[in-house]
Amino acid sequence: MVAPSDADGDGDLRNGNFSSVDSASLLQPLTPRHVFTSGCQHHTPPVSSSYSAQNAVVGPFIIGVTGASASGKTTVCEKIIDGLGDQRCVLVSLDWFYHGIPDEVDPRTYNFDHPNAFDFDALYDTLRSMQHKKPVSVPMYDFTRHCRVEDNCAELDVADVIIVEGILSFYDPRIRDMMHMKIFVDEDADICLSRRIIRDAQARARSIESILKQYTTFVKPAFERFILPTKRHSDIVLPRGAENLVAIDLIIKHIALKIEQTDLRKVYSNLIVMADSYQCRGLHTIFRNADASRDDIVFYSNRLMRLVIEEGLGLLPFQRKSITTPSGGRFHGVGFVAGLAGVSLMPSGEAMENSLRAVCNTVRIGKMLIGRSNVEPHDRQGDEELVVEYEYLPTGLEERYVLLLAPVLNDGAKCETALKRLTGAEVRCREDRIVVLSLIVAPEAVSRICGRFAKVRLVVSAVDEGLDKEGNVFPGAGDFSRRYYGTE
Amino acid sequence: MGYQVNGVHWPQLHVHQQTAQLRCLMTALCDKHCPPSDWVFTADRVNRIMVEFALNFLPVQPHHVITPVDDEPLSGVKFAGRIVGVSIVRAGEAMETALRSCCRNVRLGKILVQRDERTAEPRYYMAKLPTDVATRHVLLMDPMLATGGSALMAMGKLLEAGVKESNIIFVNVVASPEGIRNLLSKHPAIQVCTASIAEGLNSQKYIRRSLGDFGDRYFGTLPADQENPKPS
Repeated sequence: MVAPSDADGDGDLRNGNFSSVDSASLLQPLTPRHVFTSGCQHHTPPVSSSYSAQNAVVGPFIIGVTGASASGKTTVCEKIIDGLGDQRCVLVSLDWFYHGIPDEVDPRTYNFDHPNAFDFDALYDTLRSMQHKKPVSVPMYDFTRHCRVEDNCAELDVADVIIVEGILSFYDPRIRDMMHMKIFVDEDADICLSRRIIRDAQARARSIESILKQYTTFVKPAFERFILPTKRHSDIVLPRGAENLVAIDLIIKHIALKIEQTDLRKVYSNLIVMADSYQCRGLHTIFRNADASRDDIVFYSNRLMRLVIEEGLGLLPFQRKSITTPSGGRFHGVGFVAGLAGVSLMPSGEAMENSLRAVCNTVRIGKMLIGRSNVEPHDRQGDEELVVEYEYLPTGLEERYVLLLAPVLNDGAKCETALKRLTGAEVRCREDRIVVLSLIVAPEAVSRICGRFAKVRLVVSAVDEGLDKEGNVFPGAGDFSRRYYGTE
Repeated sequence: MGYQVNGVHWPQLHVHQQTAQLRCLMTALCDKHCPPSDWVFTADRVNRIMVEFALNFLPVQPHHVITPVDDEPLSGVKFAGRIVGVSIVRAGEAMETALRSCCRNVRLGKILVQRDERTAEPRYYMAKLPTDVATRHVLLMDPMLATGGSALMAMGKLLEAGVKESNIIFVNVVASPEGIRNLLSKHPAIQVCTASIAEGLNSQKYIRRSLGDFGDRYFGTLPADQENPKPS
């Protein structure tokens, strides 16, 4: 032995030796499909049901569709549902949730376009049940009797996609917050009115005068007062309604992508799970193994860290840059623009510093140690309070992109404390310039970080099943810091 | 063996031979205008040299091997005993890579000690050590030895954990005479390996005419006004 050591045995894969394998047990290479979305990050659908995060319960993808009366909302919804094919897609109409007309009120003078006409609590409860994948039965509103009737119920099945459609579907903030995509159908007012006249005259046999009277008294004022202001909450404004085939096609493609993402990426677009490959899974298989030697843990987790760091660097901004090659030709490429810094959560994050240095040799590296506060137990309220015990940060972080290094996230509480400190008034890092890099995380940590810091991006190699009784990610990789450094 | 500092002979102090290469590297580290990328690269090289140097002070035992030439036997040596690297955070961590490069599966402990700016005394934050640290030879790593305050506090933590004083090797790059005196008079049984002995300390207790704050330069955390100084 040429160097002092504390254990015998070499990892032989690393030296290029292969163990002999029965050819029947060989697996075909994974061919992950890369799908590029509007942002610069790319998503890859998971390739197997047992690897990352499938076991975590993820609610359905909820889409809100709103717009003026007769703007073509329903047709847009139908085209989306058609385009999605046999996906489990359920349409929920706000029209089902009218309170109904009080007995003493003349239906002709009742304002159906005012928010008070809708039972948003009932809609909210319905959506909550559907979020938890429970089938619901919703009484339909009967336009002849003007009340919700129990004998005519819509049976809403468990769905992967829920479309909430109606003139005021963005009105209630609780419901709005549940939506992962909000579409505002923007059609010219005269076209809406023409459609309304034809529809009400033909289907409901009403006179032109009464239709126009209702339009000028209720419909138009309600649009301007309640519906149009919700346009600013929308993610997509869809001009020309159902005729806009290009936009509807894009929307369908995005939703189809979200449905394929059966993991947490479906609800957190700031979660980036690295492309799965047997190479990557092989690294996990070695360093997660309870019997792995530290030699192997260090070597193989370093390799994986390098991949995660490269993935994170891919999120940084680039600018066009053309250069001349030695043969005199022009190459149109890109150059890095951003100042970069790493911040490691001590002590485990420091394990990632070498991999970071290997790709950015002069990167500034800060350190943070998060610990329990010294508050006496009886003074604590609820959660144990976490504090930054020690920190040493580079200057000028407010102008830099920050890679926060944390190889394993359990409940993500320490990472949250660090993010609060980094984005706080003293350090002033910009949330959209922070990327958290991690090898293994629990779904709880994803919810905590991606949910509470919407602009912070979390790049991970694997999302595990959950937390065990001690609050550690499961199946996980044990106490990463202890295994990597060989210390307690 | 040993080295004389200000007229005092310390048998436990080992200063690396001042080869032209080491002096070139040390000159670059002490250059205020050395670009950060060159500085980190050079520091890694010096750290590697110092770790290789320090490993010479570990015990060896006779070891016989058969050579590939005519299967003839050869009497050699091999390292005896088990080791652990313990870095004094932050600067000491810069030496971890060098140690891992030489001893692949070495355990790495950390001791976090920082100078409290209010009291100017070192303050202890945390120590991560292997449970069986008491049975191991310890390479205690910190590139800078100024007053010796941090090193003494780290030594205290190691002895508290049951490490034998004679099993500790302090791996260092620049040592001040004051630091050597403070450390070796309190812990005479340890070995100290360094690349250079400095003249002394300035009024702020920094090592004079030396490389500055190793941790800040290695981790890029210099105050804004000291960044990227250009030659005037």
